[in-house]
Amino acid sequence: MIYLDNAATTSPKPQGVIESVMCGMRLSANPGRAGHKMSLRASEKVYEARKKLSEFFNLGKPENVVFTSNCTHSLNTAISGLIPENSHVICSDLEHNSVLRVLEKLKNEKRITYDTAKTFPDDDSTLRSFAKLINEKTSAVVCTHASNVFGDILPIEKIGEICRKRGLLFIVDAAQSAGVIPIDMEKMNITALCLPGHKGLYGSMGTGALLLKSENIEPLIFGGTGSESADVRQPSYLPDRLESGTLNLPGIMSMKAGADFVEKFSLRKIHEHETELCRILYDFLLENSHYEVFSKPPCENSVPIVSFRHIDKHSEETAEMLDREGICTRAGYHCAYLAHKSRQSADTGLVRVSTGVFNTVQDVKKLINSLNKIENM
Amino acid sequence: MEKPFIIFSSITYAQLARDTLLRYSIRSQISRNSNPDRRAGCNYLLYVDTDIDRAHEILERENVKNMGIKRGGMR
Repeated sequence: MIYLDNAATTSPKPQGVIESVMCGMRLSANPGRAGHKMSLRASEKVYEARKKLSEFFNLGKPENVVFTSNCTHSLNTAISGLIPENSHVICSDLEHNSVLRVLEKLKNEKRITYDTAKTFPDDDSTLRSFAKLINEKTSAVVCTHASNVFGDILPIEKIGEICRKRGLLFIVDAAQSAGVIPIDMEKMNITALCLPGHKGLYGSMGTGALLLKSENIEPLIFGGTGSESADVRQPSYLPDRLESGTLNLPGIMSMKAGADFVEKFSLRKIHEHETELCRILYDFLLENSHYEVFSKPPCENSVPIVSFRHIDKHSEETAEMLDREGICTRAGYHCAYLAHKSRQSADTGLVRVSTGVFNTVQDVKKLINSLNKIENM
Repeated sequence: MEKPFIIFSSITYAQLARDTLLRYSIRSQISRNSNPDRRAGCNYLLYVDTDIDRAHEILERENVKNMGIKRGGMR
């Protein structure tokens, strides 16, 4: 099989990541709970991962790295826990349901109102679109860093600058960007960075993190933290406040190993390689009248995603044909129907190809051969 | 021999404290509190190789959350 669905989860995983999971399984003691040597060793592994992510994203506070089960968990926690009641929120028209459904729930409970900023090919228009929606009740911007459908990167640093000037919280969905393009929480003025461990960071599935500048956050779940046991109230400090229940030690260790892998190979070089592969596909699609491409030309200002459709087929049909050819892609709406509506692809959905560090030019050539083969079927 | 220690409500802060002190060339060891104050619940301790008051002062200055020094602990 040729795996080109890396935006869903990266595959295969680096050897160091696989070994780290095995190591976590072998260690198998509960971190932060007991005083025996195995528990303390497990706690050290968790702390090493906190330090790694804090440095990787320039948070500067390992204790404010909260481990979650995925990016959706991080987003739910950040949106529900940080945004004040009776305030107004702005998001983009490229948001995933992991943002939109949370905002919609809060809106239906009459806890917030929200508006959607239209995005444009040029950053200035996108920025104007965000800025003009700010009103006296606006408390936060919640925004994807990179579209999981089209691969567009939003001008996060400039949106962060608007948030800084207007005193707004800035919650960033880094599902497609963490480990793929540089993220500097300080420079980008990000209040809460929500990320998966299993995509660009090459960790195992069921991992995620929430990196926070603000400690003023309400938890989503409550319970055992291994701290303040005599107090029935949830601890007031991070990460304990948001980490109830046993942590996923093998998964957390895999995130650290994945971040080490990305650093060792260089984030920039990985991105260049993946972008080059996307470019080959993009050029083919542009020249082929049977296909319609919806992504921008792959470049340094996009994440490695190319979305397209056959002009006479539903995207699911094309993906099924590719699967029969031994090629894994993702079709449909990618949990981001609003993004499809915004870019006029909601009738058929799109076939999304997303490359990873282990893909080769041969993989893309095989995909192109298959697309040539099925174009008249 | 009696040895004082610094108390932390969470292992993360004991680890943060250990790393912070190491930046000042102060070595320390983390341990579970085997005789915790009932009202405080479970917590962790940091034993410091040198002057504990200086270590505590550094942690306060660096805003590392802690529950203070306990003197008269057994090592």
